Amino acid sequence: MQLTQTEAWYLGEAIKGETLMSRKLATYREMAQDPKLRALIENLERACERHLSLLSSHVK
Amino acid sequence: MPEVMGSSIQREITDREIAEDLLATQKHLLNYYYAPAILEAADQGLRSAFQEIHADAANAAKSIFDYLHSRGWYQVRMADQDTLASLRNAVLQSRQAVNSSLSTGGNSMQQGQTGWTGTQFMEGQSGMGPSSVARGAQWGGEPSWMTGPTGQFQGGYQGNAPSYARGGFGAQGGSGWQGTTWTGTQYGEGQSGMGPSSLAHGARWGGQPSWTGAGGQTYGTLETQNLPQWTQGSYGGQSSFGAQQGVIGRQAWTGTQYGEGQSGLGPSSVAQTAHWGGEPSWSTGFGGQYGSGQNINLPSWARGGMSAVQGGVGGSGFMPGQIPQGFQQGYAVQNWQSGLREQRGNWQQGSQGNWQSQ
Repeated sequence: MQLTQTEAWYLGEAIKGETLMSRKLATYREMAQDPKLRALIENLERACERHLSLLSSHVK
Repeated sequence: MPEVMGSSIQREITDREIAEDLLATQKHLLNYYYAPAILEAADQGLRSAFQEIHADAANAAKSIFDYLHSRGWYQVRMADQDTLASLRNAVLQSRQAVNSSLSTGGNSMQQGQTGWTGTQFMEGQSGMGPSSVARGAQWGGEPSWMTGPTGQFQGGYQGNAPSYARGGFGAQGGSGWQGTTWTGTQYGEGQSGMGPSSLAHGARWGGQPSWTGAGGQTYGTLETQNLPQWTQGSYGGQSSFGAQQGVIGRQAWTGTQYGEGQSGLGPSSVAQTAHWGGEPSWSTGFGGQYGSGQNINLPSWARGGMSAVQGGVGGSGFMPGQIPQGFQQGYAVQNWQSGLREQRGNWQQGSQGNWQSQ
């Protein structure tokens, strides 16, 4: 698949955004006091991993 | 512990702050990454990926909101009455604007026409026969042209109706236009002049043609002229009888309201009393706005669905042979009644229960 310039830009931004989000979530998981919030953060981390995997699959 | 400018600031970040930051981050990703990325993606596979992640992020944002809200950290304020009133007004104006642009979507209006009230999308309209979506005609095994001289070949006025409003076969029969006044149907409504109306279920199920309904849009009073067009009926019949009468000094649209069953002497298209009860609506009274004018300032959504409020069954409607309130003011009822008899006389019921013109 040949990416357009715009697609490549958005793809790169999305990957950077998800990566940053993932690191933030890891930090917050350690800091969170409420078990419910921690569970929520763990779910978000898994979603982040899926997103990164999906986005990366479009980069050949 | 976070450090700022070389000095340690001893401060715990709270659960609330964590959740609020996560929500803000999700919103940012949604709005500034994935929403534009979806719009800009040329490749379908990549676009789908962006869409999937966008949906995920929206769900995540909702989860975080729910968490905050459940703890009282994210308060929502209900809209006050003024705001709601303004909103309703905006909806009205929007609908009027949209409807106005729809109704003038064709060529310029004819001379003397005060407003196009013609056929709307997917509506069947017929002058003397079943219209394009007259399923009664189709299911009856008879083409629409056999039951009446329909079709937009009659008369030249229909050139002003937008093409999407004309229907397929035999739509916009000849008597939709009278003089310079278009008195056609509105969206989804059955209209007929002398034949079964397009969506007149009563005609199909009840075995009675819609021409027995004289639910003309022009019989009402002028008081309804300020009603927006979107309040004009989806299903109420606007027969061509009304159209013909409407030539007389027609200035105002007084037609069917949304969802209302309107009929003069026959089942209106959604006059459920007609098709459910096996009885034409004229036997139980008249729907439509022929009754008192007290409803005129109500938006259509406030009027109820099936004529009950606007003089339908058991309402302030009138019975056959009686001149309804509000109806007496402006029109020659005698003409209407005699015209009806004449129109009826041209029709007979065929062997398959279809109504045919003699």
